[in-house]
Amino acid sequence: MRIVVAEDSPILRGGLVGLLEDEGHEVVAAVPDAQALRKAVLEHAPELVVSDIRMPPTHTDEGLRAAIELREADPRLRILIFSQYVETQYASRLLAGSSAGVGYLLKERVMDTKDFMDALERVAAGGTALDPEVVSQLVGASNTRRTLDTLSPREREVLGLMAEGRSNAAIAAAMFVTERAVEKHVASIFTKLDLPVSSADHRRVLAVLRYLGV
Amino acid sequence: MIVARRVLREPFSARAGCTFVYCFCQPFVDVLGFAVVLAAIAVSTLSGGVLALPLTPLTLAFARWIGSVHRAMARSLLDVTIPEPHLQPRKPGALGFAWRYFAEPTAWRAIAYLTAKLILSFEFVIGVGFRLLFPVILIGMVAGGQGVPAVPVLIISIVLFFASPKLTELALQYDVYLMRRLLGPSEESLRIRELEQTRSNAINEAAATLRRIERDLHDGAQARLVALGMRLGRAERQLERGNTETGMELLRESRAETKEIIQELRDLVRGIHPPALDGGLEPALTTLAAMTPVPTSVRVGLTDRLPAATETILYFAVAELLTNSAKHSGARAVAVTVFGDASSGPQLIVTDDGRGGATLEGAGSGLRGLAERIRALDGRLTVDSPPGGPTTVSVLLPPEAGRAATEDRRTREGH
Repeated sequence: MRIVVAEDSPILRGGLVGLLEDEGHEVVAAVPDAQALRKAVLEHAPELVVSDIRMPPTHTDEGLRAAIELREADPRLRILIFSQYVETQYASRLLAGSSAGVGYLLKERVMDTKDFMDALERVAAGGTALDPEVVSQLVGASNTRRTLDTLSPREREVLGLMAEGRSNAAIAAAMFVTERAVEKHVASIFTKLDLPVSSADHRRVLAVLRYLGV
Repeated sequence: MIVARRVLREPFSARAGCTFVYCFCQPFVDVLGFAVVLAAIAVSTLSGGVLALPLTPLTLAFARWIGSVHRAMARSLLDVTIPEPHLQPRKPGALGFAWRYFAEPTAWRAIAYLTAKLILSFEFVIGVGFRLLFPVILIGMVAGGQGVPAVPVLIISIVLFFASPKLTELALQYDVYLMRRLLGPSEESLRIRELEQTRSNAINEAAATLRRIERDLHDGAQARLVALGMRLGRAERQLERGNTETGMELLRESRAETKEIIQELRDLVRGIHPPALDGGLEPALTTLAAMTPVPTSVRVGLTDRLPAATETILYFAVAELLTNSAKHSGARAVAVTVFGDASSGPQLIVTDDGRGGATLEGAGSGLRGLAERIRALDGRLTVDSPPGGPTTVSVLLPPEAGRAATEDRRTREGH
């Protein structure tokens, strides 16, 4: 996959590039700020952008803003936002348009290379990857708590994994149950929360996220 | 000869003109102001005190305005700037209302000024009378021709004419003194201003420090730890795939990275509270001196240990001054001295043999920030740095900063 990396810390940028290359991806550009990111995307037309949020000059949210802009210009571009902090508000902004081919992960997720690669591939395939931390904040802050309380602990676990953007197969693997069991939980959740049932994974994620107030 | 010429010219100088106009106008403003005040008192008394209620606030506002007229005159004619007094914000409640409109000190002080000026109106006599006596006699002689007045009168008038500028200046000094005391901000309000200012500086400073620590952690240790984790993850993958050489290389890099992270955290901790300070100011300063590129001598002559807060302040003051010396002065040697006792307050002197030219005014000057911090503690920082050097920066802290050490020590050793 052709990837552009935007990250202001040289150490992290180098590490990320090394990691992606180890895994057989082609990093066509690695840039230190949002302005350079815009230029690099225009120039190299990558399939995926991996970008930090806080970057120079203001160190606030320029990475996120650039990513949203780039996606508006080209909806096929896949974006993986990569941050030191979890901010529900950032997730909401990122997912405002569509959740297809978008990811928001905490930086430390990279340490688990396999998980990180899974998330990357999911985003590349047009799916969603949301950090568990983000999901638990969403569930915690949700003003739909009372309905969420009607879910069984198992169902809540499934809901969380769905919100992260995982497929039934991945959820089954993570929970050590069969895919059939997951399907049953999913059906039950959708009934309890009164959500429209959809077969496409990313639509399902979107429904769950909308429900959680993103 | 020169003196004589100057004395002869003085009555015709611009300054003399200004003081003449000032002395001439003063009584009118005074009398007007005082008349209004008297009228208000009279009306209030006649009405049996009823009208005092609406009249007092108006009169006080008028007195404040008269005060500002005086200040404006002093500024434009005497070139003396009396700072504007601070009007205290109105406190809530009926008492606050009464205070604001009936007892507001700025206005009452202005009235006191008017009264003092009326009682001691020699300013007008000296500034205007002395100067006009001779010209009036001259005009009388030329126009009236009533005969020459007695010689002594003539001589006195001439002497007074030429002496009047000097005498006027003397009288004005007294007036300016009155103005500073009664029309300027009171010492109390100046002190409050100062405290407000230094307090807000201290708060901003603390916020900026926290922000800096957050940035340092975010960009430094935290980012490095993520990078370390990343590298370890890569090593794991490589080893899984059987690429032992690459995997081992990544592990070696990780170990080196860990060392750097520890070093960085150590530096950060030192910036928050240097562990060396626990052993006392002297060893901490000696350690600090050993880390500076410029050879630095340290002498600490204190009878007792200072309170922890004072030691920390002095330590960081020295750290900043040493950094300045190393960066800007090109010095070859620096001397750090700390001394003082309970009565005089702790004192710090840092001298280098560099090129000098350090000022407190320079924009973004570290010295200025340091001076602000010292001021917040009622201390004083002075810089003596002529071009060509040497540079001496002294910090004098108030005696309180040196006391309470025993009690403080007890709590410190308690845990």
